[in-house]
Amino acid sequence: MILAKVQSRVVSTAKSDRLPNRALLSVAPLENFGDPKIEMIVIDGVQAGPGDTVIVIQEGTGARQVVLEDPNQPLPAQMVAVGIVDDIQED
Amino acid sequence: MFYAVVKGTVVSTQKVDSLKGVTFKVMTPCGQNQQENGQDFIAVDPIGARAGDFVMWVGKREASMALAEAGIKNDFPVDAAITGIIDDIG
Repeated sequence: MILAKVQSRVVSTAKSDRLPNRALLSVAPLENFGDPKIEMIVIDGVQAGPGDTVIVIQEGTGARQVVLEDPNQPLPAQMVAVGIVDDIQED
Repeated sequence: MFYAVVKGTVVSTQKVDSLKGVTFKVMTPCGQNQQENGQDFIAVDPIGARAGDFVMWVGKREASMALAEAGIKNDFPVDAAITGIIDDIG
């Protein structure tokens, strides 16, 4: 999993009918977690919005479990926002 | 998924049987403002995108699942697939 900043929402009408009817978020990895220039589209699993920092899974099996009613159905995606970060404490 | 701009279509007549009828596109990876950020690659296109379209795509084993005939096993020998044409970001 990585942390990423939500930048905006993504609108796509002509999309795969295997993608769920959920919001898509445009996110950029935080600097320690990847190249912020490689922006990504993630499925919103937590009703996040622009400005939020989110936890993103990048693995298809987990994505199907979060996003689909039946995780044995195909899902052409790996990345799902599974948590909104409130705070990071450096102990 | 990631962003890319479609550059063109790859025409290939002689290919492995499981890829017959599948369309390939040349893609330039980019960010959300369509600024290029990597090297071109090839993706299968079950959506019907055209050159110049701003699209999202999925890589690795889930690319196969973008094809209508595929199940959750990796049924097609592909590693990138277009999953949607982007209308707007806001």
